[in-house]
Amino acid sequence: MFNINSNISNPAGPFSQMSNTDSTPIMQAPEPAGPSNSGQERPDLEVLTTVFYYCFTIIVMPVLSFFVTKHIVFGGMFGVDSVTSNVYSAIAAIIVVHISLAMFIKRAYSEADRVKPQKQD
Amino acid sequence: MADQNPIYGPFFGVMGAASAIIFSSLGAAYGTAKAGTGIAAMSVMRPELIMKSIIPVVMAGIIAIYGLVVAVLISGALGDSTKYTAYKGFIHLGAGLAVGFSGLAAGFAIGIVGDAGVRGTAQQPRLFVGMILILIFAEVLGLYGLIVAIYLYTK
Repeated sequence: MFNINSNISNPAGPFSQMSNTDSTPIMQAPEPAGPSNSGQERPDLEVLTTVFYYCFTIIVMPVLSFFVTKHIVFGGMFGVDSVTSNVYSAIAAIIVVHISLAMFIKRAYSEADRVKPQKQD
Repeated sequence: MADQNPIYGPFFGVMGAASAIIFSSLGAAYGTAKAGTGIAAMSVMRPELIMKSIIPVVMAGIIAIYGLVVAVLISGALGDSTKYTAYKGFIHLGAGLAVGFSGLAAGFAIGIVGDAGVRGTAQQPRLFVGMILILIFAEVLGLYGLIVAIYLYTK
């Protein structure tokens, strides 16, 4: 485990321009990594695809489920009035977005466990 | 009739729909930006943790979805002042303000917790579970506002 803040006494590091209002010491850039370092990680495209899939699910699915349940399920099949169908559709959309969020957290958690044994310093 | 349906009745409903999405998005934007600076600073050293660190940003986005839902609900019920009473306008303004300011508070909390959380997770990975729990409690603040807004909407 490397020490991230080992260079606190030298605040004018190479990344000091990135500093914002946060008072946490800015991490120092590592030594230029050799080409062997990049071989351990999963391909960037795979991570990007996974993140895009879950973000798409979280953004699109609640909106889709709201209108689908409003116009097809509650409005069409059950025939309830407008206010009631709106409320039930909103509740369905919120439940859908939380299920998507739980799936994303579960995936991210298991992802980190799978990557961690490969890490070495 | 005129005192029940004044011409300015829909104004309150429109302001409710607008404030629902405006303040929720304000909180979500602060949360995204604040957590994003933490992710950017952390990823320099630990780029394999990016997927875990995206979670505060996603949770801040869900705050905006709360505001979107309430704004769509109120917008669907808006109408001409002949069939939209002032009472409905007040109810919708209250619903919009409830979810808006709750979302603003939850977004602030998610931003600050996410910033500190992802920086800490880079150094101690066991902090991740604690960060998720604190983020969920911050997220629930916005959910309370949504519940009150939907309950007001049914009045």
